[in-house]
Amino acid sequence: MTTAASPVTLRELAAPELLAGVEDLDLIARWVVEGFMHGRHRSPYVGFSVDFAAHREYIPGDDLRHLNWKLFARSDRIYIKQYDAETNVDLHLVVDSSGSMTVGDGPASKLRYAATLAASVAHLAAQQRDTVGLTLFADRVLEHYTARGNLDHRLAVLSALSRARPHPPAATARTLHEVAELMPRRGLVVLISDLYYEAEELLSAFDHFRHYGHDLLVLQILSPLERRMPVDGAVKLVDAESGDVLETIAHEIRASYTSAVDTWLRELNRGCLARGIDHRQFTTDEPLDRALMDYCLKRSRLF
Amino acid sequence: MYGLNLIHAGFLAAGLAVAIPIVIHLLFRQRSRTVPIGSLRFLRQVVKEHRRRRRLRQWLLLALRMLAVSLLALLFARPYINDAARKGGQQEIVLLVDRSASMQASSGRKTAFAQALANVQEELNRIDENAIIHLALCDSTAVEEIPVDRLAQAQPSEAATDFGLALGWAGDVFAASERSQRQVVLYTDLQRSGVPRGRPAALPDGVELLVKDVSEGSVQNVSIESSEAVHTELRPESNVLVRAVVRNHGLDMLRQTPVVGELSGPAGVMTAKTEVDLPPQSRTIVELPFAITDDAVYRGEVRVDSSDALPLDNRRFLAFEARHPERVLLVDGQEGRSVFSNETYFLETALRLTTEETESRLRSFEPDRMVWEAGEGFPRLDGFRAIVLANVRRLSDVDARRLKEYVEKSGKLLVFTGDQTTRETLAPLAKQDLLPGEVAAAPVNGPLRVDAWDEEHPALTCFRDPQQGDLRRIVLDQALPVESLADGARPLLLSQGRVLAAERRVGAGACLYIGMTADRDWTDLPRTRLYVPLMRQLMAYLTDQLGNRGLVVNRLIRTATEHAGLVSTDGNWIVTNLDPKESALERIDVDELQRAFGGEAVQSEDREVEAAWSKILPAGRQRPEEIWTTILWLLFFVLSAELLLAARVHA
Repeated sequence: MTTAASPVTLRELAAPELLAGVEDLDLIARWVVEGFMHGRHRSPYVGFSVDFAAHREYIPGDDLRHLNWKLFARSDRIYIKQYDAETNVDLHLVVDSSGSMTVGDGPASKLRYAATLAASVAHLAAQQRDTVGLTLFADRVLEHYTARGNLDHRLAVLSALSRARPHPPAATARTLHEVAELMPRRGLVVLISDLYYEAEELLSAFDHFRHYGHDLLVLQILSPLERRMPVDGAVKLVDAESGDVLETIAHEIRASYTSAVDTWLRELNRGCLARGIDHRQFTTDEPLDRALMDYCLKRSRLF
Repeated sequence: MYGLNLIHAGFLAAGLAVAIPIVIHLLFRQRSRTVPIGSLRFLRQVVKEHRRRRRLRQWLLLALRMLAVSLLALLFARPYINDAARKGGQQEIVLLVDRSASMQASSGRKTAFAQALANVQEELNRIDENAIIHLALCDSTAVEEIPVDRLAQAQPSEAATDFGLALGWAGDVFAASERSQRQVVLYTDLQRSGVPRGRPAALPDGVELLVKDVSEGSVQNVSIESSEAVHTELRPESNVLVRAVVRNHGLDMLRQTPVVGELSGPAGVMTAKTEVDLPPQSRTIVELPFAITDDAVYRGEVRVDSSDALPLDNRRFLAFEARHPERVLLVDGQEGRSVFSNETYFLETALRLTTEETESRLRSFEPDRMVWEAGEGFPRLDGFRAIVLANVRRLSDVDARRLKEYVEKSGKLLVFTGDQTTRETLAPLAKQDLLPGEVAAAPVNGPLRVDAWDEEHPALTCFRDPQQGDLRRIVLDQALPVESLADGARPLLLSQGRVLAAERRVGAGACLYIGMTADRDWTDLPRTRLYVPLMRQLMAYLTDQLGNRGLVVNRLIRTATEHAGLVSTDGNWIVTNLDPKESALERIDVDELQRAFGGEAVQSEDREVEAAWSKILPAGRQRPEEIWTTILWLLFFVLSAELLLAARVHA
């Protein structure tokens, strides 16, 4: 495992343009995670480690609660106590691989963005010695990896994320019920999808996950076009799944469209909030750090 | 017919340009670019609603553009509302019918006046009932507006033509008009003499002048342009001449045309006849002699026997007073060596002058001169109206008595003095009360300037006006004034308080004394311009020819109902004749007539032809019913709407 000591910032690393240009998902994930960790005022690890592992020098951003005050008194040097993370959390990455995820008018497609995000989360989880599982789904479960902690498994997960495959359309969220059934052990489920499903079905599926005691973090990925319709003039919009075509003048419908999407997102958000589910929405032109931060916060609240 | 008509209908072809917006619409329709999207879920509901609105906007935009092009084409085609009712409501027409004498000219068919009435009737049938119509008959005497339904009763007059009067009247009518379409239609034979001299008042702006020629063009006409009597003083072996001017207005030579004069007098009807050759477009003077012996007013006519277009002017009436001249006896007291140095030379010459014929009665004198030096006494005095003694001396008492008798029987005596005249030589006259008073014993040396005169005296009243002669210019080197005036004597000329001339009534007659010479011995008066009028005035007073107006009044037709002819009132005769210029049938060009009155003249026999031409040719002037301003505003609003809509569609 290569130690990443790159001086580059997270925003540089997690820039979508960069993600699009690098094929090695593992490398990207490490860049992202290391960069993400570097310079945080408050370490995302706080609270979820129990066994002391080693000392390291304090760097700005470390939580002062983990300072070794005794050592500081003896040697007049500031060290942070590092702990081994608990591994009793199963992280299930559920990534939508349906046709609608293949589009993206930004630097990367939604699927590429989702895969990178999933890989980064997996890398973070690995550092915390969490087991990582992966489920790719569309109209059915395409691939499923039960959560495990070894390196080979993690590489298999990354490989599955980066592998090319057909992306069938997924009209309903019923597949998520199947996914929920595949994960009977309680854990942290991170669902990465554009959520183009009926809200009722979707929330029903979330209930299914909650029924099995999963903590659910929903990371909704939309392309800038889908979110804000930033184009002008006449456009012929092609549905990535059904192939349906719709012609319109983009700038004329922008306001109405954005309003409709906002309403949809608010409904989703309200539904998730009612179920204790964290719902975050990103567009593919945004850096990954906000998503990772959300993951870390969610993870930290588990203990 | 009600509806929208076009002046330049050809420009409607430009309306095909409406295809341009369509082509532009199709060519520049926005090309869609394909964009994949995760789901059309939200788009469908938004686009469905928006598409309807957008399609509506696009159609509206296309319609506005096509409308703008159409309006532009329509604008160039210059539309106008052919609304008969509206047009009639804006129309005011003056129909002027020339009823002058020349309108009675005819070459066998209808007279020009009858043709004019027929044309007016046709026009009246055509004019919209909402239009205001003024129908008027015009000549040089007046413009008479008549009701439309009295058109058939209209009669021509014998007056002259005067377009200035007629069109001036029409201008006055339109000055008070608020209607936009104003038109004068003049039915005339286009007689050139009808155009006034100088610059006539132009028609108001916007008034159309339509001239309709109702004459038959060039016609043959012979007229008596004038007729007058010359040598109306009856003298032995001298005929009275009636002089007539015969004018041939035509282009043909007329040979041996009979000209006849007829006069009525106390002796009955007298006729004089001659035949003349009348070259084309020329005047010929004809003199007709009449052997008249009796004093009377003679009246009659001169006519030319010719069959021409206008018989009205073939005769001309005349009347005149013919009488013997008043006999005056000039008694020359000092005959000179030559005629010019006679004492009465200047006086005789002044009295023998013939004056211009005026409305006043003719003053004519027949002076008989006798030289007193012969000493034969006066001849028989009965036939003389006045006796003038000029520097006469040695008057006997018998002579004085004869003069007294003569004066008392309404005779008149005028006495001039001179170097042979003294108080003594005048004593016989004084003795018979034939002098206005006692004259000075000896002549008074001058200069003596007349500084006052009797302005109320009938013979001197006219000299109140210095234009007639200023008596203050009379200067005498010597004079024999009246020292003391007799009762009833009236001083006439005064100088420094001295009476230079005075009058005294004696019986039915009068004596007039002038204390100066009749020739240039004592004064230079005979050489001045004042002499002749003063002497004739005094003599006319003495012979009762003063103040008498003529017995004959000549005048032209003054009212439309008047006719040429002779009318007698209280012994006076009124001779009424046509204006001779009415006989000149020379025509004026329509354009010239239009220029003279500043209107827009259109000579048109046929209105349909005019209407057809106006559709083909650019009108060059704006019709009042044109609506291009409305179209322009509409175009402006359409373009503004198009701009706003296009900005929203293509933003």
